[in-house]
Amino acid sequence: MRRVLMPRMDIDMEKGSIVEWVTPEGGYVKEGEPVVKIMSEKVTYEVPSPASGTLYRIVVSAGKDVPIGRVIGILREEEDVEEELKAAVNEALFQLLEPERKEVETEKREAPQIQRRETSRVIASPLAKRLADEHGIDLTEVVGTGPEGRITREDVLKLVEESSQFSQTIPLVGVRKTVAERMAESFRTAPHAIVTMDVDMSHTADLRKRLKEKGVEVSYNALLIKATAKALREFPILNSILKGEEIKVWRAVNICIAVDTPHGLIAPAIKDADQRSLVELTKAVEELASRAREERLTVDDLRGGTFTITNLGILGVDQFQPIINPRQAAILAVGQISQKAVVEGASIVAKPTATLSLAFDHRIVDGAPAARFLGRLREILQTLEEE
Amino acid sequence: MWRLLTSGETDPYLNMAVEETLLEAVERGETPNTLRLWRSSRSAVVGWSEKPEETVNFEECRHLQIPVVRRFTGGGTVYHDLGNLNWTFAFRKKWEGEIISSLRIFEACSVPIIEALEGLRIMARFKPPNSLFIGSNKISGMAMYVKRRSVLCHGTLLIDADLNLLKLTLKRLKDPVTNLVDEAPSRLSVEEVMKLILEASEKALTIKLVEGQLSPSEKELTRVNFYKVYEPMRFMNIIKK
Repeated sequence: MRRVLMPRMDIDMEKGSIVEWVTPEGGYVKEGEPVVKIMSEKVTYEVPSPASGTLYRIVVSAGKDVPIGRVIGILREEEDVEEELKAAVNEALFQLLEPERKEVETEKREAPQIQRRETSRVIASPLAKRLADEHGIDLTEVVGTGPEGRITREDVLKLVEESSQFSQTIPLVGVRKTVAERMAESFRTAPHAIVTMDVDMSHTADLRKRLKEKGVEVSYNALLIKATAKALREFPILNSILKGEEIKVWRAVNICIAVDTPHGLIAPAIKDADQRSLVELTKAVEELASRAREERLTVDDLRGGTFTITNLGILGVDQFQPIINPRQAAILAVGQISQKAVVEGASIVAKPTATLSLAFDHRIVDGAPAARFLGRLREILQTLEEE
Repeated sequence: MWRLLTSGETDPYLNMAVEETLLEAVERGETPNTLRLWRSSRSAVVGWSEKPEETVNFEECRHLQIPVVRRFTGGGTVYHDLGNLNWTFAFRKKWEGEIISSLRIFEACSVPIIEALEGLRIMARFKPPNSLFIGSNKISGMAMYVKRRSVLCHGTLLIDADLNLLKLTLKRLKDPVTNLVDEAPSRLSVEEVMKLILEASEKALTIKLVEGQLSPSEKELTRVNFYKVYEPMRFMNIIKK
């Protein structure tokens, strides 16, 4: 498997735009033959293919601008496994969401614009090699601390000890890695504060039943999205982003819905959620979720979200503290709907209740407006009707 | 030794087919490095990634019967007529896959032009990334196409072009333009400018230019390109990407 990267074709180049894919998706290309044409300033370049294979996926299509070093396509070689290819595609899509960093500066090598596979030439002392053999350790996984990265006996011993403590090692790559980085960044930079409220979901249950009798299927997620979008319009500060010294309120309400996939957590965005009907939202969520699980999401799906809803209710969670999606002001966590004892008048009744937890960036929003927003959201959920 | 091509062909579509052929032939190693000086009859020449609807006044062009051609290099839309001299350097890289500096190549290609103009007592200068100016007026724009083993750099040179038609044809002019005839202290002709450019090229690149022509395989490739890609443009009102 090879990644086709936006190459540095010119000493002064920092980004390029894709003019045309010479090889179509699914097409075969030989090593060295042009696979894609790119442009920078007034120059058109033909980019040679890093290897022979089929173009498994075009990650960035023609007409788009991409910084140097980003993955624009994935090339499938003979022995490749579907899983690996899909993971690479996801990783590439995620990377495209990262703000451009000045890593361009550190990449000023004149060598290949195309990533090569790591060679596995290992330098190790004879003792280290013997030890590794005895314990069934792969020397390519050992970090050498000797001169010039040479693997010493101590390095191998360290790994032997560690492997006896751990039953499994999962490399932090792909989606997992990107999620890890983003979560850490978000938690580190935005002071998270939480407000929590229980919501009586009997009205929404009733609404769903009534609509179903009319032959209209509407999901809980759609109801949550619609209600949230409405509340965000009334409390726009929750639909904003902190950029440097300015809080900027997004014009659109694009709600991300967190989806659990075999490769990790992905949150594609539903654009203009406030302008869509419950039926449209139901369809949109279903469509995005199934595409997410099939790893067929596009960059457009993942970009542009202004607020996120994460629903772990279906997994039996009552309440949890979510982490805000970077570039957003808040995130709503929804727990499961379960029967709870509620005081009504002079009696105790059972009501289907869900716990909503709103995590918000305290630099942008204070507790009171956040609480008011959540209160309003509760009110909407308890009175929502289909327009 | 470089090959020199100066055929008198002026059909804009055929000329573009030749340009594309030239680069392909040099890339394949079938022909030596080539300097081509050529002119097209009046036409609007659109850069590869531009939308002709946005850069060309189609109504005017239809009215004045000015054909619209799309070239295979990028950059802006320009106006060609017989008062404009096109120059093309098609050459092999130092090694296969060499990462070039487009800025340096544009600059290097402009050296023979600037020196030629000096001979006519015109002071022109290279304005990065890819233009030649006299004072604040543009006289030349260039574009480049880079393949694995070779590069094609071509550009215009306004000698005695119809600037009125130019302004009618192009929707937008980024810089004011001028003709060499209006900047030279004495009369000059296209032939004279060509001769000086050839001399300056030999000197600047330390090469010998040998007049040649398209090889049989180049002619065949041109024929294919012409009928497949360029000629069809003649009959399309809007050229789609």
